[in-house]
Amino acid sequence: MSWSWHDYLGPISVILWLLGAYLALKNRKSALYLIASGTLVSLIFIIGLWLRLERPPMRTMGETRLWYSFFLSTAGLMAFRHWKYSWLLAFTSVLACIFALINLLKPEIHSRSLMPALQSIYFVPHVTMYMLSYAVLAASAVGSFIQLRNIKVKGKADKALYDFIDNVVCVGLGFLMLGLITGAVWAKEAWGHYWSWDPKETWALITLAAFLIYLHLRLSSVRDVSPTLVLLVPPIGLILLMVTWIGVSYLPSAAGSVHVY
Amino acid sequence: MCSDSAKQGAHVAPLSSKAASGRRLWSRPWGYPESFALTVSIAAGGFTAEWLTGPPPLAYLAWPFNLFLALGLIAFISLFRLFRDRRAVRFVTSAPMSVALMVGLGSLSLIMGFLPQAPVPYQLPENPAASVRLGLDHLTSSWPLALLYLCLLISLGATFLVRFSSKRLIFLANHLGLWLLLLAAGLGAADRQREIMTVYEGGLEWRTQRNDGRTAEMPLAIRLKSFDIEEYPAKLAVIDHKTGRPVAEGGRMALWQLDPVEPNGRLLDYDLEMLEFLPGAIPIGDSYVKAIAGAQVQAAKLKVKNLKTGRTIEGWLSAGESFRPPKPLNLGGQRLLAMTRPEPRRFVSQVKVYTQEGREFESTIEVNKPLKAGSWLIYQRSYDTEAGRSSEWSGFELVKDPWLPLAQAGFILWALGSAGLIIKGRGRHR
Repeated sequence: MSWSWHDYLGPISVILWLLGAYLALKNRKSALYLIASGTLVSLIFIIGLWLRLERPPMRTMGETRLWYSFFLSTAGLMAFRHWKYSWLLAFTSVLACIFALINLLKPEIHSRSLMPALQSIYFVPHVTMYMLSYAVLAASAVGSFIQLRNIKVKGKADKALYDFIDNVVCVGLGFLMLGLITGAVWAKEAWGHYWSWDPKETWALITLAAFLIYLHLRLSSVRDVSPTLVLLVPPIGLILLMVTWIGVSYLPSAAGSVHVY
Repeated sequence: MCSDSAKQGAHVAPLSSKAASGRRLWSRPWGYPESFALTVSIAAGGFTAEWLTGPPPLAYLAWPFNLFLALGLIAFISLFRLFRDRRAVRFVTSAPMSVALMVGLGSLSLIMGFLPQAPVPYQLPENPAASVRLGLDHLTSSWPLALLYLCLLISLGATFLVRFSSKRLIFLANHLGLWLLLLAAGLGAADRQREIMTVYEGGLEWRTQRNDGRTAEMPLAIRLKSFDIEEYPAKLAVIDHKTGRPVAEGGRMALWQLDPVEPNGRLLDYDLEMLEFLPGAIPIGDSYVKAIAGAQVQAAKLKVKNLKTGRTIEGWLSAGESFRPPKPLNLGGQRLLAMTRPEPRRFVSQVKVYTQEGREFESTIEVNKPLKAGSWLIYQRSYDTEAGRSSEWSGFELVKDPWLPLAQAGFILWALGSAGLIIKGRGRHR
């Protein structure tokens, strides 16, 4: 199965995933089958390409994107089985589609003008993990605001909402830490050390600390820590996250950072 | 992951001011106020030490002293496991203590996030300003960070041991992974070596240059067989003769990407067709031919049709390099078609490496693809950017980190723990 097969199998996956994402948001059970079928089609192409190339298809950017589409939709399916968050299933499916679409429209977009330091197998996972965590942690900040309002207006917190926020922070932290780890492993390969206090690294650490603080604060009972204080941590974390993502480039400390582009 | 949290919460002193009123600091059991008081005191002690004595002498923490310290630390933490029912142990491994330490270290990181930090290894200047004396420009190698780091190692390690249970795999992987990584990164710092080596094409080198101008001899030698830069096909721009600037379209510089697969396109009012593309060429008269070896530039032959006048011209273009002038194409009407400087795709050093043990082997070194030679990793670092593709030397960075395997183990465990968090989420509900 050569790359030209992707012109036919790629769109099939994309359509299945997109339809599945739409149905997931409508809470239809058929979403699961559609997304699983899309994932299966992408797996068949990966295996076919592997046999044809006689090596694992992980060398070019286009090849790694195949894997990420596949992994993303698989991870979404697994997370859904456990947590029943249909929005997460929809989100991962749409993201998988984006990678498949890039492969369809611009199969070798990265072969052009991608500076040598960025040509790494860690490039896609590093960015994907962070994008996933950013999206998920934003949901935790939104949840915190709703909970703060509950406490202020109703005088009582919603227990189910606490469960939601805690879970979302756990999932987001997981991706945040994986983003940091893939970045560190990549840094070792590109610059010789896994941690060099680059401003982007420092800010990623600050963001990580904020959400870790939230989780550890939640270990104490309501009597010991003011719930308002605890619920302010995810929104503060989101602000720190925005600084990490967008703001770092504008700080005086960022002169000479490898992450400014 | 937090099954004993409710239990723990019942013993903890409060963090909210309202709830805290009526309770005195340091009355037992200790909780949030005491954790924060302790963390602030340690940080204050660190800043005082920094002010009085300057940065900590971390270079003394080299092998085998860091090993002794690590073993001592493990022995010390094991005591916590033995006395895990004591109040002091509960305090050190409590959620309030971890929160306070994370806030402390997070605050130091915030300072680093705003203020530019001096490179490591740090040299204190003469007559330092107050902020420098406090260590604010070199926090990564300062007393406050070193002390809080040590506290975190103790608290994190003790928490792992005290709460060890085979049923809490995600907790164990995350905490042990992070602990191993912090241990390797911090205590291993003094053993890490970074050396800069410049090798000329055809030459053999075993000495490195240090910042202070001294040289050091390495246990390996590198012969540079060749250094090559591969370039992406360049972009074309239309230059206005009068201003000497590229012509813009919609507020952005109008560019056309050369592409051997897609030779036709349009730039501003011109229809372009690429007739020939030579990634490595030498000029002969007004045209270019493929270069076999030696100094070369990128060149392309274009056919340009002015859509307004209908006039068509043909000719060669090249961006030029330090030793060759650029070759634009005159479009008439005060305009030139010019090739922008191509961007590098790959820097490749073909090398032969000789080790002290008598081993020798040939390989290539590229950005993102370091070469392993014994306990050293060799990285592609630099080249003569003035000369570009005809650079006659290649700069390497040699890195040795004996603690790397421990850090790698930490990364793997931590990654597994992170994956566990994603799959399992918060775990049991309270």
